[in-house]
Amino acid sequence: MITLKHLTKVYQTAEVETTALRDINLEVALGEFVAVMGPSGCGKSTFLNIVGMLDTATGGEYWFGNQNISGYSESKLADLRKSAIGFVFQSFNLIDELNVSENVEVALLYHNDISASERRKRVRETLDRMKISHRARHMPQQLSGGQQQRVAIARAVVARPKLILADEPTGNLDSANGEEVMQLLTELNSSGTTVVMVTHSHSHAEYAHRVVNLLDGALITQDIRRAL
Amino acid sequence: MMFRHYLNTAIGNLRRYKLYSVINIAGLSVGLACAIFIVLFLRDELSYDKWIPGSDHLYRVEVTIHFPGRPPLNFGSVPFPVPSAMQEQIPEVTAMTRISPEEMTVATDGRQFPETVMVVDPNFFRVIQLPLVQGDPASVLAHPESIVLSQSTARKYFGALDPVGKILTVSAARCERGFKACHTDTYPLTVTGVVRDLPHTTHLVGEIFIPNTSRADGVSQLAKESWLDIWSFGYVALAPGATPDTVLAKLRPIMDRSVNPTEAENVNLKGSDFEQIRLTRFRDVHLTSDNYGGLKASGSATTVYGFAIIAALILLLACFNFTNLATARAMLRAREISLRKAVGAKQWQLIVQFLSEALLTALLSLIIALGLVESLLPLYNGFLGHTVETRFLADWPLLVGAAAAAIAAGLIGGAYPALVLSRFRPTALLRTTASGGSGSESGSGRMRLTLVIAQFAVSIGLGIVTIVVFRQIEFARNMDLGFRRDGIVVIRSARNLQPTARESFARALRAEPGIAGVALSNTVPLDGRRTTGNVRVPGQSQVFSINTTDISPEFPEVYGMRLLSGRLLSSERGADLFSSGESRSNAGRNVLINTSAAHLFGYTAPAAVGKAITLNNVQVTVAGVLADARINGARETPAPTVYFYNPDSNIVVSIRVHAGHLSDTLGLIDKTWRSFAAESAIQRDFLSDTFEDTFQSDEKQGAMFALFVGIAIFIACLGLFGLAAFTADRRVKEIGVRKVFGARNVDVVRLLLRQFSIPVLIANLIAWPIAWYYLNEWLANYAYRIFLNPLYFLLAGAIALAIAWATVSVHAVRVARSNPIHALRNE
Repeated sequence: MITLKHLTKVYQTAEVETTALRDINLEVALGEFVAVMGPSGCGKSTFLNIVGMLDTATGGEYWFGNQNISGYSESKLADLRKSAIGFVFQSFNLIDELNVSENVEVALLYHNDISASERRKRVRETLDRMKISHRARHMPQQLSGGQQQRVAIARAVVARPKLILADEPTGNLDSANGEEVMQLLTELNSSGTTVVMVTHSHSHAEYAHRVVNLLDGALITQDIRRAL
Repeated sequence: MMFRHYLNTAIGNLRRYKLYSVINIAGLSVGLACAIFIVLFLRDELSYDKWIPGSDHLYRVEVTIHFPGRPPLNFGSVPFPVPSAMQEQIPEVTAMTRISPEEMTVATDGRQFPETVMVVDPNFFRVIQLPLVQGDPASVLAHPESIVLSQSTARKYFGALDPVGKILTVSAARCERGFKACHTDTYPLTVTGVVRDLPHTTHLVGEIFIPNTSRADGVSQLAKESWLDIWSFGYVALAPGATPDTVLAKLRPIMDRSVNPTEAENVNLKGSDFEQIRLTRFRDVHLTSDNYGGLKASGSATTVYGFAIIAALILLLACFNFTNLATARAMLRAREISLRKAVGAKQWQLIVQFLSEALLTALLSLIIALGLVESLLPLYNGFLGHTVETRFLADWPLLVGAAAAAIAAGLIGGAYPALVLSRFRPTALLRTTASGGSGSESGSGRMRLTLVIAQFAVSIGLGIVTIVVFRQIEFARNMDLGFRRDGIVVIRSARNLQPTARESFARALRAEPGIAGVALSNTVPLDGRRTTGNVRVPGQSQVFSINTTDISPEFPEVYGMRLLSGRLLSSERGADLFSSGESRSNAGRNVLINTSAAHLFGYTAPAAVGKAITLNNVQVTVAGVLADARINGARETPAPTVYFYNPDSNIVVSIRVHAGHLSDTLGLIDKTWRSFAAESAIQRDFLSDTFEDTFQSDEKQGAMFALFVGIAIFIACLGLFGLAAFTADRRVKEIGVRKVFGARNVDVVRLLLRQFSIPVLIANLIAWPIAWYYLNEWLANYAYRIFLNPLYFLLAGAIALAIAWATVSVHAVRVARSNPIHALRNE
């Protein structure tokens, strides 16, 4: 599903040149659950942003399915991103001014082919699936951290993406809520969604099929935990 | 100690939030500068005549004529005997004096000057205490053959020499009533005094004054005794404690005794009902007699109020910016406030702190505003055409006023944010993330929205008013007035010639190839003079009040007036010629009428031809009907008018010059004039200039209005710019989320534009009805007015929206283009 070939990301300012990713070669298969680990500042977030098409690499190739997206325009990337990728963040990133339902709906708003009634139906179904539909009219501030993250996951999956990118999804949660989120991600993966998750937690990395370790922007090991 | 701490914090905050500081200070300083400019204008308008000593108990005597079936006619002048009768018969009237402007030729040392001379009662300088540089007010006009000059006129005639005691020769046309016999006499007058040049802040004009006891006064004794002719300006002084109402009540029986409208005008009214006398405070004349016709163009109270409102609105808009940006910033300062509260700051201390910040901003703005006014003042004076202020920085009352306004603006703008910010509970704040919100935040958000709506409502309303005012001026200017005004030269000094000489002068000019036509008349379009008469129509009991205009047969053709039916008058036909003698001798003569008159008499234009009517008790026949001409411009509907031909009273010559021959022809006209009237200077002007002059004050005020409206919109946009910057920054996370889930840059820009479009659209809904109401009232002043097209409202709304979009899009594009990761990165 994802193939990275000699991927490099260099940040350049007037005086300093920082290499965030160097010569990354990686393949993620369809339906795989990959955890990315590494110390702070090793380039995990940069890695996830490039895979998530929020940022572009400075060198190498990024194949998404059978398309080399390295030279795609912002609007083409936006189109691809909205149909294929769902995001989950550590700090949930729910919009304070919108209620739960509306927050989830945001992920469908920019799909011109989905009608308003279809959008509402899908939001309802997804909230049901995430067991949060009783909070549909609540504002984000009125929810606990675990509930907020479940809403964020609902938002990530409502457009039925093939790939979910999770950036330390349990980082702001206590252990019980963290486990719950991991269960949800595992369930999604079981139903065929590819998951790439950045995490600091070894126990949560255990849920993945494979753990990729980054250090100073380079990929150092790939542990196959479980056979597909 | 505490003060220094507040000051330091305030300065620190101004520095930290540069954009907001710049917007606040720029908005407030431009607003204050505008307000100061407007106040200078208003103070100038309100200062008229107050500087004249003793003017507080002076009143101008004015008259309103009530012809049955016609709108009342307001005059700034009054029949000549009225003021003197008031002084003689009403004890409360302690003094009176009169002014009659007359055209004369003043000659000295072989040079001739056409001048408007103020012919006044000998006590003039005692009653109206204009400052004399030389001469004693009590005696300066005591001798009949004396003359008083203004400083600049004295310089014009005598240079640096002492004018007092010098002789000037004055030539004036002396006419019998009806101008049937005019002759020009020349009299030597002795300069007895010099009056200081009058500033523009008086409704009076006067370069040259002579007493009405002088032989040079051209007005006949008959006219001076008439209670019906209105041509002189009268002033009375009332005793302390006397009210105009008591005086007017005592005047009524005098008017009833002296004015007989039944005999003269066929109007069956009591004298005091026909000629209703008004007393207008001397100091109020400038602003209360807009269209009454005065010694010079008057101001307008409506304009004064209008500008006062604009000044207040502009300041208010700047205050709104202040409030808006300060509350918007509140969240950014949440931590600072919490910390202060946590270490024990009381609410009042925080209020003092925020108000000191507001005051500091206001005072900085004041300094910049003063600088702006100081540097732009010469430009402003030039624009207004007179100096409203020169030593502005030495004007303490103004400076104190400006400082008070700045402080008030600071307090008004700072009060709400100070209250909101200081009321926050520290725990609630410390829990909030930098981008998060809280309950009171949504409250101040509503406040901000309301203020933005108010700002745009004001801007849109003013915008609509500007569009409509300019459209109306343009409409009036381009309107078909029913007469030609281009290429027409008007010679007013022709009154100095004998009737036969006037005819010969006209004939001589007609022979010139550059001249298309020459006509004579007793009045010309746009000069505001009118003669009234009355008409009876056979079979109708009613007496119709109409205007009469004396014309030569060429008049309709020279002025391009359309003949609708019948024929024009002709000098070949004896029956078309009126004479000034016994009125009965005019029986059976022919006249022209206009469409309004035909309709008033109950005829269509073709049917009126050949009908006999009784004009001023003499039976005449309608020879033709002319289309209505709007001789007083767009403000008045055409009055029913009867035109007749009486060479005796045709004292104005109108010359239509062929296009392209103007400069040659003017020289020729002057030369021809000199051969007819060597002793008097020619007075000629272009009718098109007179026409343009009628729009000058409208246009100047329109331009000033547009300028201040532009500034109001600029201030509103500054506020919107700051608010958009703030909102865009605050919505960075949300926009990041939206982008992550597929929003393109254009979606994000659209989102932000929509957010700011809604208040602008609501503002339209508020502004439209108010603007409509106001403009409807304003347009009612014009007899011919534009239709209040909804497009003007839509246009103003669309412009406001476009400006709002342009302002917001700067930030919208910046935020849309930014990488969402920065906003969403884990903290």
